[in-house]
Amino acid sequence: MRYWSKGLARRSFLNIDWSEEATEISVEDGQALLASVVPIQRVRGELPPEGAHVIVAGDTQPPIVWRYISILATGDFENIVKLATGPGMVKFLTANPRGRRLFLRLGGFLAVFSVKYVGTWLRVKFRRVDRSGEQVPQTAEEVSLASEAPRSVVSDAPESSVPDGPGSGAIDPQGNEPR
Amino acid sequence: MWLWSKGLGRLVLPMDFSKAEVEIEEDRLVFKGWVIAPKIYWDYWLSLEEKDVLDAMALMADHNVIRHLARTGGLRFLALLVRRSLVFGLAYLRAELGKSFRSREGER
Repeated sequence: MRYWSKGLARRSFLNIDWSEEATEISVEDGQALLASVVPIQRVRGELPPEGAHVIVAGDTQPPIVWRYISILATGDFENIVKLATGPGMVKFLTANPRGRRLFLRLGGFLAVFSVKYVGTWLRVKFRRVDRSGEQVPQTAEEVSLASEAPRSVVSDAPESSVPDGPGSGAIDPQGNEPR
Repeated sequence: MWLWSKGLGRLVLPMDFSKAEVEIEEDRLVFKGWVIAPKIYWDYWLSLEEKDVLDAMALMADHNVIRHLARTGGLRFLALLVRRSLVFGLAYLRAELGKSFRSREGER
């Protein structure tokens, strides 16, 4: 996947590989994870709310190799589903010579995903209900999730990887102010 | 979605896919939108090819992701997925049938 924004200035694009080999997927407290790479008081921009999020982390592929972290909330997955099943995707499949094959794979994926989802949802739901039929507050796993220390996947980012000034290899936000 | 990368320094980019526009460029699916944060108003694009779509599906099928979605999204997420998938399937079949019908008309 290629990503470009105005903040990349003259750099061409970031090449983000979401394949299994190049991606680390986890569920952690998104805000705590960011705090492990950027001092939270110094963050510019909006922070995710405290609590568990899906974290997709990794290194971008050449030509620009940077550590990245994306933090996805449930709403983001809903938006991804909407985009992936929207008119744009229909156009993409009909215009693509391998569109039919991809459509079948998408269909297969959705069927398998739905079955897995229902199974997981049932397990989660019935684990929360005790024998008397009353709701159990949360499983120990869920309670520990929010307080869990960020995984080591991003802890290897050194302090110096958060440069502020120009010429440090980072984007100078001041130099890329709104148009 | 929130995105941070080494090159962004202390900037964390909030990205709202619900406002993204979808375009097709050659064999790529392109999402275009805006990153809006204090003093930031950047346009962005994300460009996906077939492999990226398959990778995104694999990411969603990860058991950590499914478990998290089942906990937080519940049946509402599944209902959205099923409803959208059915509409999408029908729209695709309609477009494919229309395409083959038009090509037959063209041959005549």
